[in-house]
Amino acid sequence: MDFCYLGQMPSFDESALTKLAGALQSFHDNKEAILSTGVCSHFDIPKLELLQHIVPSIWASGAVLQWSVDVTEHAHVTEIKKPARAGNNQNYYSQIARHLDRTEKCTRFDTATCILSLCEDVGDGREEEEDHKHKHKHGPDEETDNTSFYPSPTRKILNYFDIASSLSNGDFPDSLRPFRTFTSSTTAINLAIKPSLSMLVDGASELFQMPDLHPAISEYLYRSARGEAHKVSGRRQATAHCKVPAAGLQIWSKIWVQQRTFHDSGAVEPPQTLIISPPSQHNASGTYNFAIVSPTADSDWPLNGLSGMSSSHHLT
Amino acid sequence: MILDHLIVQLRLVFRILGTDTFLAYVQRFNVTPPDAASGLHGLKHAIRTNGTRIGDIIPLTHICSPAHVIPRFGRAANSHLNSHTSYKLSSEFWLNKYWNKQFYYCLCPS
Repeated sequence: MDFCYLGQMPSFDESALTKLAGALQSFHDNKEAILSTGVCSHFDIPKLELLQHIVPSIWASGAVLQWSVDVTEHAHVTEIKKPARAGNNQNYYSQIARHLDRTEKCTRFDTATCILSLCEDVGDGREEEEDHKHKHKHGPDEETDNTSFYPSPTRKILNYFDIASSLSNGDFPDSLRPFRTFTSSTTAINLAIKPSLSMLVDGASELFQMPDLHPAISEYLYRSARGEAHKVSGRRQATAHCKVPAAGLQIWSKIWVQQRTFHDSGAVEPPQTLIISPPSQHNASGTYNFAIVSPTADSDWPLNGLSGMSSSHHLT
Repeated sequence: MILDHLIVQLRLVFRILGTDTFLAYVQRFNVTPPDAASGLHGLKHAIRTNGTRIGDIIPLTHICSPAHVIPRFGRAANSHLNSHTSYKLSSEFWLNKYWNKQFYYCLCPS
């Protein structure tokens, strides 16, 4: 597993390669265990033979995309799945073969008529008009063929970083404030214009089954006023000092979070949705997603991974 | 300075009317060193001495990344677990670094 993920990095340095080799070694060290449980009787698998060549090959010629199976996997779609769908769900093998045969014949016919019409075009001016008909007739066919053989699998990814920066530059003076799309040093966050719920603190505390919401808010206000880091320590030093304003809360049950790509900070990953919804008829226990957070506004995530992640207990 | 990143469960995303900051109520996990066999960090809800989970409010911008966790069953799995209740009934989890490639690279920088 480590090997698979490490092997797909777009760029390698020496320590990455050492790790890659280590991951393969740990497979070889432990493969006896798989044999002894009898899950499979041997490891004479062609794909595994490939693995040992990856590290030397990268040393020799740099990161190579040829280890990607995307191209051949995609061939499965064009060569098997599409023809299969064209048939009547019976005798798959013969129908697929026949479909491919006929598609090829059509393509050849189109190519031949196209060449022919071009030749005629050059050779005989009188038939120009007819050629136009030919072209007109076969033009759209060719186009559909081309698109079906070279499909582009890319889907447009919304870039919340760009949206947030144009919002804060004042490009859209009419947009709702505070802005619903904003960024930290590492991450862009987007919220829906309309909150899912609006209620008072006590109502939210009951609905979301969090009896200590009230003291937590006053603790937050206390900490922010003093400029302290938000360590999620659960300490409550504010109860006596701060009063929660008796204002209502706007609550969102969905947020979209987007990060920059690990190896290329100019590119972005697709946004991911985090759901934070209270218990409902359909889901009696509610849905609360998980996240990695930083105690300060400026985070060095992900440069240091989880290093220094505190595992100490803060008990009050 | 080493910044301590935390693994948390989001419990509420909100804004107090009249203020400009979006906030999140989060409950934190204590993290144990990686397991020898799976290489995954273990997670356990941080609790106070009275048994309640430790939670606090942070600005929403402090979120760095979504996280993916797997319930840790222990010796015998709770028979009431299903796709809706697994997060509620479990108190221990694995942090799934194999969730996707981006998450893996972030957690295991080389």
